Amino acid sequence: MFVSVRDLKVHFPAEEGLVRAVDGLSFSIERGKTLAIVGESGSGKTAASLAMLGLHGKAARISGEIAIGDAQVVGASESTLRRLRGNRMAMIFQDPLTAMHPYHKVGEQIVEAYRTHRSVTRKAARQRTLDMLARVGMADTQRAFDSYPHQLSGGQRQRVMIAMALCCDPELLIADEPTTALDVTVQAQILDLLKDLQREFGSAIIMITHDLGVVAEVADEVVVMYAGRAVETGTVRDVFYRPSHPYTWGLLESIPRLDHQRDRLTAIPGSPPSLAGLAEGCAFRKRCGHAASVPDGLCASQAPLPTDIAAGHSIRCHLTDTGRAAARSNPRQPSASEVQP
Amino acid sequence: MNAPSSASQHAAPLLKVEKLSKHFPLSTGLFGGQARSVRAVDGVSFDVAPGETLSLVGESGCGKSTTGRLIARLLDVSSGRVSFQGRDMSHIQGADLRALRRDIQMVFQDPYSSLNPRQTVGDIIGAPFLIQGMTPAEGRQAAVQELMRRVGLNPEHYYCYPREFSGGQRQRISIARALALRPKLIICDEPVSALDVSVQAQVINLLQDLQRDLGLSYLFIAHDLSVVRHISHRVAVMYLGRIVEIAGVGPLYERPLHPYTLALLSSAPDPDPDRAASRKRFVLKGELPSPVNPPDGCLFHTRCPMAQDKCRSEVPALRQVAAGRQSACHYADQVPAIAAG
Repeated sequence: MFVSVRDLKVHFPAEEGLVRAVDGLSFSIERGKTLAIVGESGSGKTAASLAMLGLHGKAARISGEIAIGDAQVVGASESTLRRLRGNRMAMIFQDPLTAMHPYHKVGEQIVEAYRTHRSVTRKAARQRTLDMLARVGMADTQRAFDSYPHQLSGGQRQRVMIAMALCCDPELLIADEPTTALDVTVQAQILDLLKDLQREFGSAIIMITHDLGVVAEVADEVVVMYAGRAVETGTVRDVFYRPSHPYTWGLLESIPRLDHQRDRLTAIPGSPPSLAGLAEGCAFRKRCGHAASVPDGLCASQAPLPTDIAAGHSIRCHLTDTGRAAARSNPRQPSASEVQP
Repeated sequence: MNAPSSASQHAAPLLKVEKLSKHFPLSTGLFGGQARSVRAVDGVSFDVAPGETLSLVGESGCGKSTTGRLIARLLDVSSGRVSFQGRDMSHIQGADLRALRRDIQMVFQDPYSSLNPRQTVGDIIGAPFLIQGMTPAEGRQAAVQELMRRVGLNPEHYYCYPREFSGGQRQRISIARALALRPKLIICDEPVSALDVSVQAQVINLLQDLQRDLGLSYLFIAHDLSVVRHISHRVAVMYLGRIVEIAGVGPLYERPLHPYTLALLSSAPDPDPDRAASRKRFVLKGELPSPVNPPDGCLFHTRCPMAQDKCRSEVPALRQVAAGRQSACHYADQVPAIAAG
């Protein structure tokens, strides 16, 4: 495996208690493949991706293992990290306007990024930048080079971000909600572009998103996160066609569909928990319709460990195989409205 | 199922919008040079029947929110006519306008910025009574608590502040406030797009329950095509300030008759990996032209793969192309063939 993450923990000490933003996350990706990390706000997906790049500040307590090829990220020195970033891995952020410097031409920003990692002449860097701008589909590359970020549209800015991220041929690209701020027709263009570039460069992509539609479009492997933990991990077909964690069921049932009208959406009651001082047990149990069918109040007392239910398909849930089958054939009734602040 | 009752389709419309336009002036030249303007909304016509949900969809900058704000009279109408229950209200002022607000209310996208953080929930939901100088028969607090129950909030939280609630609950507060004066029409401007997926479904279900129980009409403004399919009876697609297609929700999604509608639908991510991989994409080139400098002829011709010479010179009118369907494409009849490939 090219990227391997084992038992990653990102904890922040806070007044309200220890915030377990990421709590025991494991996954791996091969070159040329896309892994989607899907979850709601506060599920820890961004905290995990920042840890991969070594971008957390001193306040974060990080443990576990992140291997990119033969390089280790957790515990690496700042100079090692700087070598890894750009050369071996790069990131695309949700909002390119805040990720770019407003007072510098976008072309100069790419040149700077390239020259930070490669000892090349200005002229060569400039040529590389123009090539990359052409590669990501900017029509007039010279004009794009000389533009300031605010002069570009949202879709163009995201193309420039991608050009900047790819200029050093990274082997791993982390894209954090890269299309969330874009309109659907532009989103489709950017997703297609990322797929093309992946085929061309063979990089691994980690796509962080809350949009199950985007996951289905791009992912080979999927990690579903809830409250800092991967509750379900598997191939995209495992997760969409054989979902096995009650939270994944809930997510898939709660989204309206494009192809047909549902009578009524099955909502997941309540809202995601606060991560501060999260108590023992399964973080999803209060919103899960099936905790009562698990004996001994196990869901409240013990956090479920990852269990393989098929090759490459694992979940964190106390339901037994038969319990899960029964739960699946008897879906929870649409539940009462949430009432507590 | 969401099919509009046949009665509502033939009843007199609750809201009738005719050739509605809003032009925002741009800065004029120093010596009063020719004043330019942005035609944010340009000759939009539609109506909404009692108990019906009409959705306005389109990408950012298409004028859908401006249309909503014109109808709520939060913006002044440049030209055209908005009638509510047969009465022209495009230019009413003062007491007449205040009376209109009892019938037309609005729910906004961001449940964080649309609630006053210094007011208690009771004051926020009760504010419409104060503004209108009304005291409900059962007293204000009792009326507010009934509204809170109605939208699934715990009435005991009357004295809580917005910060104590989650995003989904805040949107319930906004909805309760909008319901206070028993309106007939609620303009919902992206009411669920700021919410997490698992919470979105709760709010969508609530809006549908309220419509069923109270006979409300909704003007639903959204960019998420799956949500729109789920909640709407009819859909109007907007592009650069104009309606390009309007039809019942089923026919529009199953057999679009404008290439832009086709492009939107085929760009929307589909949460089904096999279908996503196999479907034929109709991906648009380029991005939305600037509304300051709109193209001649059909506004969509710069991005339309079907564009002919006629499209570059002649503005297509929104015309009846089938029973209950209007399209503003010169070649509307050819769209289904393109969709089929």
